[in-house]
Amino acid sequence: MTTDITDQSFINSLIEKERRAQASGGRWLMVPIIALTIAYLTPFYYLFVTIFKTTEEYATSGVLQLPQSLAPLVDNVVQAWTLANLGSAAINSLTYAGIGSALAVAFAAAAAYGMTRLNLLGANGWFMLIFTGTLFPFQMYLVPLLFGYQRLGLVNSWLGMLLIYVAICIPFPLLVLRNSFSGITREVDEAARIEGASEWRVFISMIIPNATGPLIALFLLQFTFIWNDLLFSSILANGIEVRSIMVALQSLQGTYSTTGPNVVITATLISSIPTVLMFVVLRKYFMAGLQLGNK
Amino acid sequence: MSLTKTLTGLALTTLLAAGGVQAQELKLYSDKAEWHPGIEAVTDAAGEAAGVTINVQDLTPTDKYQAFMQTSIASNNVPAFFTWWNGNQLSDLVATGVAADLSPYWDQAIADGDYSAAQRELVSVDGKPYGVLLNVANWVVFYNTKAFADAGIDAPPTTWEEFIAACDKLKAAGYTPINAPTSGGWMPFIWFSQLVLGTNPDDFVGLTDGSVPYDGPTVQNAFKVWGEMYDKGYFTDPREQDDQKFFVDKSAAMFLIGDWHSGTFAAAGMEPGVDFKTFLMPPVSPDAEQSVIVEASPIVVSAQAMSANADLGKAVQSMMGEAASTALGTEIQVYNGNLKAAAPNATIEANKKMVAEANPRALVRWWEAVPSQIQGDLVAAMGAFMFNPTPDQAQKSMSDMQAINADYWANL
Amino acid sequence: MASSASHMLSPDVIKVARSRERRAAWQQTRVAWLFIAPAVIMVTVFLLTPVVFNVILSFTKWRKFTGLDQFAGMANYQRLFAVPYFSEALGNTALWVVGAIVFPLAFGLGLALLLRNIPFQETFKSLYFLPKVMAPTAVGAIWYYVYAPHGVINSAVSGLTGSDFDFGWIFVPETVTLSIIFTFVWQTVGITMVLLLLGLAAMPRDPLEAARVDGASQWQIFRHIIWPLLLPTVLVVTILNVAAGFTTFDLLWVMASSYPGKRTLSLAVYMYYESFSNGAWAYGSAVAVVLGGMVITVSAALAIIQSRVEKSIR
Repeated sequence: MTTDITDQSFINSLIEKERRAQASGGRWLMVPIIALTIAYLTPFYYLFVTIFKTTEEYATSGVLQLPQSLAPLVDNVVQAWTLANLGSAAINSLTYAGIGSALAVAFAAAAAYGMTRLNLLGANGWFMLIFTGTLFPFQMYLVPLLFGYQRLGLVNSWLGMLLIYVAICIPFPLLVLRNSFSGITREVDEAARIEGASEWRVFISMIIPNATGPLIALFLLQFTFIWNDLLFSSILANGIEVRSIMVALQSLQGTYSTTGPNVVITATLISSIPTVLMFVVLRKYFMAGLQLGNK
Repeated sequence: MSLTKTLTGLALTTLLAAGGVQAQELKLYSDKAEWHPGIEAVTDAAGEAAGVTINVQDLTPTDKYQAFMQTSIASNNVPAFFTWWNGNQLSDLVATGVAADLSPYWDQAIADGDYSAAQRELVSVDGKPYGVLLNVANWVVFYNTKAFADAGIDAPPTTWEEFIAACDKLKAAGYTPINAPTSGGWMPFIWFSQLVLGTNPDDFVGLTDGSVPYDGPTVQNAFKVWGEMYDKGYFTDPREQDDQKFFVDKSAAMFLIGDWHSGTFAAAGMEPGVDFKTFLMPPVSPDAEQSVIVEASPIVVSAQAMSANADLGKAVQSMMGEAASTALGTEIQVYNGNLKAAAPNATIEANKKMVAEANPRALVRWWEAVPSQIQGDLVAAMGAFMFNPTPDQAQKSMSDMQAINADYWANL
Repeated sequence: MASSASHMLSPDVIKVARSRERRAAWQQTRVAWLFIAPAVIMVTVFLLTPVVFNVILSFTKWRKFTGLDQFAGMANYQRLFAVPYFSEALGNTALWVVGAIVFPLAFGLGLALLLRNIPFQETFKSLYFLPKVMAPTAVGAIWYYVYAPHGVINSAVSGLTGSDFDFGWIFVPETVTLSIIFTFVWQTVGITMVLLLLGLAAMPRDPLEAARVDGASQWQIFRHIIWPLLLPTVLVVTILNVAAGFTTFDLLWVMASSYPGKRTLSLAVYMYYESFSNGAWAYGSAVAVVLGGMVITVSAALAIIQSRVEKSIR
């Protein structure tokens, strides 16, 4: 027996119940919740007061004190930008993440199509082959990759970074898309095929439009992964022209650093803007993306 | 199936083409990012002389740079030029065959009076030179002249007792006596090696060839003295990552380091010879002879690049000339030992004189002398002690170091 | 079915039909190859080949200045326990795995239950989720200063107590791992909470209502109704966090950048340090193989448990 959750009286009774719960227990519950949330957000508070301080002010005033003026932010941004070449690093990472995740999701979609929609001999074997790519920790790729890249002249190259990012971002989307493509009814593409459409047309105009939700969510997930990556880029592309934003950020924070915490913290903010912005704007897809792995 | 082949072929062609484009460029790799302007001035002139462009590529920190260069060597893909170290580091490198023999250029430079035969030995393995000198530095104690005056220290210490007395006076005057950073994955060896060589210079040498253990009496004594100095509050907070911070903000009075660092103090607003001067670190034990560490950093030329382009010889000659030395001096106040060129600042000039007069035993830095495979592990054990300078940690550091050391020499 | 058909058709016809069928299937397969080729090639070349090489490498003597051609047998694996660092790293990794399972789940569940029925729930959810969108490198850089000598925590405690509080946090061996795990929890508690909230939202209301009517206590409701129904979500969260606990690297590398014992902070860091700072590539590869073996074993065990639980529910 299930309750009809669209039934208006049921909803009303629920709302009433919630309201009563909030009126009795909810109000006093808000006190610890807000206290906890404030404590939880302290690092962000620290971030926002620090980006408005000069290095000298940071050293002399308490770290949690409010800044004297908002003006130092400009200089902090300029310093972070020039000291670490954040600009070119951001462009590198944008292209790695944008092109890399688009290609990876496209390749995964094509493979998922081939595995679910076509009469592929040994489809399961092929799937397992690619799925194996999700089993190993990244640490098992690193040493051979670096030496392979050295041999091929791919170390410190834009193309080299793109290739590994594409490869690493294929298996998970394939896993998800294989499931979601299986869920699309076969009638659509069978009809198109009978009318003589090529497999490519069926894929592009029948299957892709039916899976935009997961495709966007997967793109966002992989974009965030590539943007946030430090491990691969720190090993394969240290050069200033090709390095990723996270390597640039780490170079500011790293050793011998004479850079003030105010500049480093400003750089962490700058390097977080794209993913945070995407999260705010495309929250729905992000949250959908979270559930993808579970099904 | 043919399509798969075509695709693979295509992918490979793209890869190889990308690799090919890269190889066109000559590069100089360096872990000395803070010297970038000086190195660039040298390579620009050298490139012009040889008719090529040489781009300077910095890679820090040092341990990562070394590992990266190792991978380049192992895959036979070394850059045309790269900065390196002398001592064991250089002989290990030469054994791989990637370094070009620079004998003709050194012969010429010695004939021209740019360098001496003794300087050639600094970068030679089995009598053949494999590097251009980028930096020749004496390791001395820098001191803040105002701090010494404030503490009532009239003359720099010449014995260990005087040194300790100076530390106490500085402490009393409100200074932290010694700036002792742990940055860069290498700096913890500074005081370790100073206290070992101050106790027994022969054992210091023996440490690096496996004949003296890292938990023997000399090292035990070094750690004991080191721990006492920490107990008395002589050293700065090891957590600070800016290696010169406490010296240039004048809260710490002394800094034991190679005199290539004088340029960065100057850049931070301290005038060499006025705001800071130097002295030779006296030995800990009165029986030990006075010694000094001489550091020499070479630029190595890839043998492959050299044989591919004979004109690179002109670049090497340019790097060894007086103009290159002057450029290094003016840009970054680093001295590469060229005899015709003037020392870049008063401190380096004074050190040259001081060393010539005292005539101490010259030692290769521990960093260059120790087998490169265990260098990092050993430094980490020293760093662990600096963060936690207790007798227990000293014992643990020593036994860890000896375990690594014994394992290395046993499995050679 | 096939046998009844063969009674009616001559063997030749069957052969022709079968071969036609096979040819058609073959045709489709060839088209399908085009579709799967990019993914297969990329994954094989850039992921699977390196794994194979990694295993091979772990049996060589390859390190700084020595050739790849020297076979070392099990030497690298024997060395793991001969030097003091591997066991330390292993111990810390175990701490990480346990910490990554227990803390995000405990706090995430607490938060989910707290935030379930309050106003502005969406805002709170987003606030707690925000750190997850940031890169571990950025989070690590911020938390480095939170734990720094005159950082956020030390200053806050000094301010509150009026003393000059200066604790080492990420600079002393006793607290470094726990401090970084705490940062990890700070970053992951939000996503754990959101996943658990989704699990709670999907929960059928009937049993809950029935239990309430029957006068069950909050604890009884949680223990006997919510928890069993939430178990699949809990397992998913656990699988994600276990993998993270084994392999977290960025956070450790950034936060412990000036801690001399950083290489022993976890196997992931130890592997990176030995390979890319120390140049002991073959040995680093052996560490990676051990790490891989553990991750795969534990993940497989969890996956089996997960499928059992799901079967028992459905």
